[in-house]
Amino acid sequence: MIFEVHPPTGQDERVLVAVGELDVASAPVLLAAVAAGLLDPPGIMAIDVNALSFLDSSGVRSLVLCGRQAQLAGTEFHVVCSAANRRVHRVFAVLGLASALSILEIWPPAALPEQRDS
Amino acid sequence: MDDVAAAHLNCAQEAIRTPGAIQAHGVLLAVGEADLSVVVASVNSAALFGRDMVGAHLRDVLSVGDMSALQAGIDGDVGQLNPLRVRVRGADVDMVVHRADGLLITEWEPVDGSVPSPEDWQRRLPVALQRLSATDSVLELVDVLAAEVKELTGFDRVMIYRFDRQWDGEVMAEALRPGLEPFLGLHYPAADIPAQARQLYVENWLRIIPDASYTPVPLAGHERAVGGRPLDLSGSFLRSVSPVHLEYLANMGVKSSMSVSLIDDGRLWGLIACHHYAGPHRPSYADRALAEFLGRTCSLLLASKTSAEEQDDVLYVEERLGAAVVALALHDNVPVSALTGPESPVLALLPATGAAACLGGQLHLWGRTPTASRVRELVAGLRAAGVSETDSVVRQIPDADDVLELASGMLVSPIGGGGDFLAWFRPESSYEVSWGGNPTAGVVSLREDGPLLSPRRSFASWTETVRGSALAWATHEVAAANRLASHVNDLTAVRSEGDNRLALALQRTLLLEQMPAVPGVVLAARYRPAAEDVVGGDWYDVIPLLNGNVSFVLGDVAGHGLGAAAITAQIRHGLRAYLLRQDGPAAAVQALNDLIAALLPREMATVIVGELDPVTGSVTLCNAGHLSPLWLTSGEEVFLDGHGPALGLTRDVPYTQTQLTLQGDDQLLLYTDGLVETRSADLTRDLDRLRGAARGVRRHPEELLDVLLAVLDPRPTDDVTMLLVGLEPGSSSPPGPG
Repeated sequence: MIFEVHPPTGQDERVLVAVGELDVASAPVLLAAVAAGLLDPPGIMAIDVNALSFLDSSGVRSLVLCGRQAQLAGTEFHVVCSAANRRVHRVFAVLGLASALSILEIWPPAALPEQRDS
Repeated sequence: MDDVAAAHLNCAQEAIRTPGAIQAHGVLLAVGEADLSVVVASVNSAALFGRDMVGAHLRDVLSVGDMSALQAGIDGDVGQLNPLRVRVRGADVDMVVHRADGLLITEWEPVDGSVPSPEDWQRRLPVALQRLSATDSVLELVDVLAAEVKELTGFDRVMIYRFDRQWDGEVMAEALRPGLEPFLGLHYPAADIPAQARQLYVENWLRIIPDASYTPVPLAGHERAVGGRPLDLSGSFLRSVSPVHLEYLANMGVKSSMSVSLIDDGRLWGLIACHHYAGPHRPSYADRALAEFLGRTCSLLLASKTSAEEQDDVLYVEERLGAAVVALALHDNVPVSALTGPESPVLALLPATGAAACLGGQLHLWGRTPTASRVRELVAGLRAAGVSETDSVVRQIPDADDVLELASGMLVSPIGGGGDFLAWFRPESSYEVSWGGNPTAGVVSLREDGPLLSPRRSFASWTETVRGSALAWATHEVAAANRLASHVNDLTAVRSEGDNRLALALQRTLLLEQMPAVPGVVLAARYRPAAEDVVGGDWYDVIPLLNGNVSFVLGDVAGHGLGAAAITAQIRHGLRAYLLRQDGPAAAVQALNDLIAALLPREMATVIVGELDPVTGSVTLCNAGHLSPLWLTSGEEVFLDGHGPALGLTRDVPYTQTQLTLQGDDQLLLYTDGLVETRSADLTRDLDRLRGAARGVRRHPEELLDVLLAVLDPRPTDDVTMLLVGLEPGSSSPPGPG
C-alpha cells in the first residue's frame, strides 16, 4: 500500500500533496502530517488529493478531522481536487463532503473563484 | 374461602342473560318480525299502553307514521333506528329495537322522568372529542373522559376503572360531586366482576340501573316463544340484574348506577362506572348513547396513547442496552470490569430497584437487594421452579416471605451454563388501601353494572391476590435482559481466546441473529467482514414497527476492527431507538446525526434507512452519504440517487426522504462499498459492474445475493454487507409510481 504526504513548499500558504491510497491504514499518516504542519499554525492550509488513486470513507474521515484540527488552530483549510480525478470526486459527492469542508477545483484559489463540489 | 368459592360458582352459573324479567323503567315487547304481533310482553305493558299487550299488534298502539318509520328501520339497519321517538297515548317514548331469539325485541322507555343533560352539551361534543384526542397519555385521557361523562350524565360520581392482567382493577380517574369521598386509587379484586359479566360487557357497551330499588317486572308469553325458553335479554338495556347485586347496591348507598365498557383491541380494558346517591337517576337514551359514544371513542384512542407510552419505555431500555454494550466494548481488555464497577449499566438497564450479577462465580450487587447468600438461593429456587421471571417470588418459592419488600419481583438471565447470571429485583407493590364506604359483612356480590366499593369479604380476597406481587416485567424488558446476558456470555466465556472472540461477540450486537419475520415482506442479508478483521464497521438492521411497517437499515462506520465495531454498536442501537419513534427515516437519521455530533465527534458513518409499507409496497428512503441503493424493477435496474451528507460531517444540512413503490417482484438492494470497490477502476465503472451483475436477475433474495457475490467477487480485504428487500410473492400492491 503506497501513501505519501509531500510537505508544503511556500512560506504561509501550505499545500500538502497526498499521493497513493488514502484509507483506514494510511489515514494516520495524513493526520500526523497535518498535525505537524499545525504546530506553528499557518494562515491557510490545503491538501491536494488529485494524486490519490484510492480513497475510502476512513480516508474522508481523516480529511474531516484534519479540517477540524486546522479550524481549532485558526487555520483556513481547503481540500484540492479537480473533477479529473473522477474516483475521488465521486467519493466526495456520495459522502457530501462539501457540507463539511471547502473543496477547491484548483490551487491557488485566486486563479479561480472558490468553487464547491456538489 | 369455601363460602367465597361457592359464591363465585353461583355467580358463574347464574342466568344473567335470561333473568325472565326487566327493570321497571320501561316496557319490553318481543314481536314476530313477519307480522309485528307481540309474542312476549313485560307484565307492566298495560301501564304504558292501556292494555295487556300479549297477542296484540304494534299497529294497535302506534300511529301510522311511527309504524312506517319502524318498518323502514326493520327493513334496513335496525341499529340506525335507535332510539325511535314515538307517541304512545300522548306521551313521548323512546323505542329501541334489536333482534334476539328470532324475535324483534322492542324496548319502550318513557321520556318523562329522564334527567335532561345540560342544554349545550350536544354543541360541546366536538370540543369534548378534541380534548380527548389531544391528551398525551392514558391517564390524561381517562381524566378528561371522567369529567366529560359526569358533565353529560349528571351522575354524582364517575370513575374510570382499569383491569390488570389478573382482572383485578383500579380506579384510575374520578370526577365527583363535591363532598363525596374519593375512590381514586382504590383497588378491587377480580372476583368483584365475574368472568361471565365481563363477557357480557364486551358484547354490550352500556348498562344502566336507573333505580336500584326497582321491583323486577316479569315477562309473560315465554311459553309461546323459542320453545318456551326464557328470552335472551343480553342485548336488552332493560334486562333485570341479579337480586344479589341490587341488595349490594342498597348496602353501598348507591341509588342508581351505570357503566360503559372500555375495550382495547377486543379485550375489556376497563369501565366508565357511574354512581348516584341522591335518588334514582336516569339520563335519556340519547344521552346514554352519547356516553357510550365517548366510551367507544376513548377505546379507540387507548391504543395510540398506550402504545406511545409503551414505546417510550421500549426506547428507554433500548438506549440503556446500547450504552451497556458500548461500555463493555470500551473495556475490551477485561469487559466484565464495565459491569462490576459502581457505574454498572446492569441496574440502569431496567426500571428495577436492585440488580445482581454473578460473574465467574463472584456475586456483585447494586441497589436494594436481598443478601448475597439469599440472592443465590432465590435464583436457584426460581431455576428449580423452571421460571426466569416472576412478578411474585412467593408464588414460586413458598419460603421467600422474608424478601417481599426487596424482591417480590425477580428477573433472572443466565449467563452461559455455568451458573453465572444477571438478576433484577422489584419490591412488593402492595400498599395500604383505604377501603372506605360501607364494609358490609357477607355477600360476595355479582356486580353487573360496574365496580363498586367492595364489602369486607372482597377486601380479604384482594389482599390474598396482591400480597407479594411486584410490577410485572414487560416483554421488552425481559428481552433486553437476555440480550445483555448473552452478550456478557460471549465476552466472558471465551476471554482467553482473545480479541477474535470479542470481535465475534461484538459482531453479534451489530447483526441480527435472525431476520425478523415480517408479513408480506421478504428480506435477505449477507455480512462478510474483512478477512483479517473478523468484525468491521458495517451493520444492517431490520426493525418491525408498531404501525405494521418495517424499517430497514444498512450502514458503514468509517474504520475497521474493534474500535469501529464498538462505535457501530452504539450507532446501531441509537438508530434503533430513534426508528421506534416512527417519525420516519429522515427524522431518525437527523437524530442519529445529532447523537454522533454530540457523543462521537470524531466519527463518520454512512447509512441508508428505509421504511416499507408491506401493504402498499411504498418505500421511504433516507440516504446519509451512502452509495445509492439499486432498485431492481421491471426490466431495469435503477440507482436511487439523492443524498444527504454522511453522518458526523455537519449539522447544517437537513436530511430529506425519497419515495418509491415496490411492485410485484421488485427488489431493493442496499450494499456497502466493499461489494463494488476494486481500487483500480473508477467508482462509476464499479457501480456499472453491479448493475450488470443484477441485470435481468429476478430470483429469490437469498439466491440473488449469492449470484451477486459470485459475479462481483469482492476483495477479501473489505467488509461486504448486503441487504435485499422485496414483497412476498402474491402480496398485492397498487400500480403506479410512488
